[in-house]
Amino acid sequence: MGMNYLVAAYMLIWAVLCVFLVQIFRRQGKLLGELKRLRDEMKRAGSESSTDS
Amino acid sequence: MSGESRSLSSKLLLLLVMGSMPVALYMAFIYAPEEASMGPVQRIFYFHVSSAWIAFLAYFVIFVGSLGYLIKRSPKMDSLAHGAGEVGFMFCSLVLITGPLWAKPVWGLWWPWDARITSTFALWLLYASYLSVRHFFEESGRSATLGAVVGIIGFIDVPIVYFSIRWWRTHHPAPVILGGEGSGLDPQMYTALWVTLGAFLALFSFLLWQVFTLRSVEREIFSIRRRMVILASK
Repeated sequence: MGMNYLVAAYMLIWAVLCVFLVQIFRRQGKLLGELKRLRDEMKRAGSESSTDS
Repeated sequence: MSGESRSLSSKLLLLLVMGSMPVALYMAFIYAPEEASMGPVQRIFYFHVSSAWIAFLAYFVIFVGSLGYLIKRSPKMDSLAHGAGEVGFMFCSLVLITGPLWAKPVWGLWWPWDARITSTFALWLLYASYLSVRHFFEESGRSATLGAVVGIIGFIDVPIVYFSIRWWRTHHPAPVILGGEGSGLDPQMYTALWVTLGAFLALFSFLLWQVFTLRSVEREIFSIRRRMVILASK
């Protein structure tokens, strides 16, 4: 088994790394979106309660 | 640390990873000399050994973070331990993937149950247990405390994995670094190994930083939700 086997092995390593990276960035994107939505909701709730009073 | 400096550190770490990884590949594939008996397949060594050392380091970070959490009840220490758990699990998986890829052409076996391989598999199971405890007890609020207990007890396996090839002579090769008389590597192989390890260390720091930030955002979301529940109940 020579260089081709080695290259295939390294590609497998990089595939694992890439899947992990993509998974982290997707989770980050989702959470940041959720955080923005919640902050907006909090702001709205705050302004509505001040209007009510 | 402010959001801007956090983002700058993340970008600097990413640059370090992007700069060091091609150098590590060059060192492993071109710079390092070919091993006489194993041929090109021995070059897996550089990534296999680096992944293993980073997996040890990650478990050490879990251990320190868990102790810190139990002593100080600091959520940051808990996030550090949890982040190291996720990243370390990935590196430990890489060790278990690259090991058999190297073993098959050299020993003719994918997976002999020798001392080093079995103890490394136990470490991988400990990582999986740590992450499972974190996941399944998240709702009950006991995830951090129970995770810290698993993180501290599980650390016992790290020295067992490290010393396994010194204590029991089975399939796995004898240590080439700090292995005593008769051990050692070609100086160029040493250089290639240290460069690859440096690149992996940069990658570990970058990934840990990302997951740590992710946990901070999760904590913030949790606290906003709690405030919203309080506001709604008033």
